Amino acid sequence: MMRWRIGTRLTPALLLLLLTQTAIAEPYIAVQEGLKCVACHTSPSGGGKRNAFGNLFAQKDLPAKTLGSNDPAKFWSGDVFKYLAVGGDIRGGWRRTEVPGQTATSDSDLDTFLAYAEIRVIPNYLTLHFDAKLAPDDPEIREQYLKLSLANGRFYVKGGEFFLPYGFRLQDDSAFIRQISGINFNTPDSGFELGWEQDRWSAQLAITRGTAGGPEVDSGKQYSLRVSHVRSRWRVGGSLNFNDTDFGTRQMQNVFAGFKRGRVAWLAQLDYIIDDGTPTGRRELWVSLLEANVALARGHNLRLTFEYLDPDDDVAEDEQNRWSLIWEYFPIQFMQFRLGYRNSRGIPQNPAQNAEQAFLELHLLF
Amino acid sequence: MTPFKSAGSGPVKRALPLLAGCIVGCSAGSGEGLNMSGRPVDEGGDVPLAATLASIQANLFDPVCIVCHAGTSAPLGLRLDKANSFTNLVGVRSVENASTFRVNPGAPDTSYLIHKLEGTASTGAQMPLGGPPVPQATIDFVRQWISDGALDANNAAATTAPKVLSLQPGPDTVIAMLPAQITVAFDQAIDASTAHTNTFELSRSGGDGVFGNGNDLFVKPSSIEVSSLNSQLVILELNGLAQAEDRYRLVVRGAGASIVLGNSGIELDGEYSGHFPSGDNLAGGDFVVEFAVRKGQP
Repeated sequence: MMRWRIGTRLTPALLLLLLTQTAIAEPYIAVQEGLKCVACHTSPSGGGKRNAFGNLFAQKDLPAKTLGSNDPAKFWSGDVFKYLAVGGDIRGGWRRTEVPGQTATSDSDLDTFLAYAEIRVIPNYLTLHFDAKLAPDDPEIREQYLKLSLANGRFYVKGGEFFLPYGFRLQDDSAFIRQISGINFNTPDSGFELGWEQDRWSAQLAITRGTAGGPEVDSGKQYSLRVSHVRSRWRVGGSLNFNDTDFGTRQMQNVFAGFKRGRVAWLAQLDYIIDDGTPTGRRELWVSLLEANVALARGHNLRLTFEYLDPDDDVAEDEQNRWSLIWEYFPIQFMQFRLGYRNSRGIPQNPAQNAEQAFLELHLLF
Repeated sequence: MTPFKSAGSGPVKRALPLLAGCIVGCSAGSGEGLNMSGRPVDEGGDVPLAATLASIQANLFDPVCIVCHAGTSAPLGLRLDKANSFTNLVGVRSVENASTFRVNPGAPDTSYLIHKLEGTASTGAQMPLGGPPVPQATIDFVRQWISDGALDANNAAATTAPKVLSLQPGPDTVIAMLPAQITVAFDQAIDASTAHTNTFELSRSGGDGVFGNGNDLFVKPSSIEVSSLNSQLVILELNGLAQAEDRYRLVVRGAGASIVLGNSGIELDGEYSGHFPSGDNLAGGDFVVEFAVRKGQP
């Protein structure tokens, strides 16, 4: 049942903002808590709309301070009524980018306003899911699928348009592991997915068009398999992806792992990609991510990330890397500030590979 | 759930050395012997920025765009590598906004490519996604190229047989309804006088899914023309045709009495073996593909 008891100190403007918020899609939280993605999100692969537990966690345990009642029964669960649950996402802020040899640019803007809906046609069995970008610009459906859950949610099958299961589903689509794999929040695909959840194991197998959001152009399909094993202090997983098209084939494989020691939650992912459809013929790529998340205090996370890309194993001196330092602060429920710096390094003759970026982001979530 | 307390500096001290080690051990390449796109210079050196496709390819598409927009997983099917950029852009409707051409020759303000680069598109994020915006000075050269007619500089030098680069609907696809158009993209300009019903033959199986058994039906498009916006595209207009569930076959003639020629007069290299581009590197040979229309398909 939907309940709004956030307290009377909030301004009307803030209350307006609270009506529209974001999902977190940050695997480090799952690693810190020793939980599967599906513990907090309706999607077993993580990200997007959060379930009742995810909403409770985001209000009670994530922020530095919870305004209003501390009674979990009075927290926002996402449920409008028995047959409908909603969620949302707003991100916006300021960003400054410096590229060697070019004038620095700054802008402040609304980056995204996402809305989620889960229509429970037959509660616990048959559900319809929508993920739509409402702003900026024209509205756009990102995910829309029908999901049938069986055996108390242990198995499911979904069909429609959805984000593919592959590795860690980071919120940052510009991360090498998201950008280079081509599997990110900008590239939903159409098809169906089978899923299995068993105690500490999760597995998803998707068979889709393989057109990264485009129309069907051939008879080839994309196959995505992701398997993970989750323990309270660590997790390990692997993904396979094969896309067979008339323009060539791409085979991707990765291993990913999370580990928690004290206040630090570590994430690591290593991808090896074989591309047979590139302009220069066969190409082998290596992509990796290493991330340390330090829980400085309740509501405060310091993230240090290092990424590495070798765009062609046969070409020397073409490697790129990027490191980021981000402070994330949840002052109260539904609200996050992110202050960050990113430094990209690549070959000197390509200025775009050597950009630096600083940003301050306001992220509202429910 | 974790009860948060002050972490102190210990965890940071433990995390920093490992990350520092990574930064040192996985340093960026020096770029020695490479062009701006990170490819060996013997594949092509750097090209001065100018309002030509060759220059835009070397200074924008190759170094910035094709990190994503190439190969099998190109977002929205938009491939911007040298072999595909012209046929994927010029006179081709945007997937995100079907009312707009990706590049509308002579009209940069209504070209979706410009909207995406300048961040004014009605849908989706500014390109390059998550990266630094392309300098306006570079975009201005793209604008100028479009204002000048968005020509493909490679066409003048075509000395090889034309090949089919892509087809919509794709070979062997099953689609819910007969599309309004069939678009055949070639790797070079096509002689417009060779695009007609004798060189682009569309037929259907007569309901049994088998061709050549006497009941095949000829399907006559309302028009077959080389696109006025892009001479590498041939468009078969199917508007107004009966929506028959059946298996369809398209034959583009590269052999025989009536054949498709490139602008330089070389006949089509059309043999198709399941992968684009077509051909066996010998001029001549038909391009033969099939697709099916079956109601209820997504």
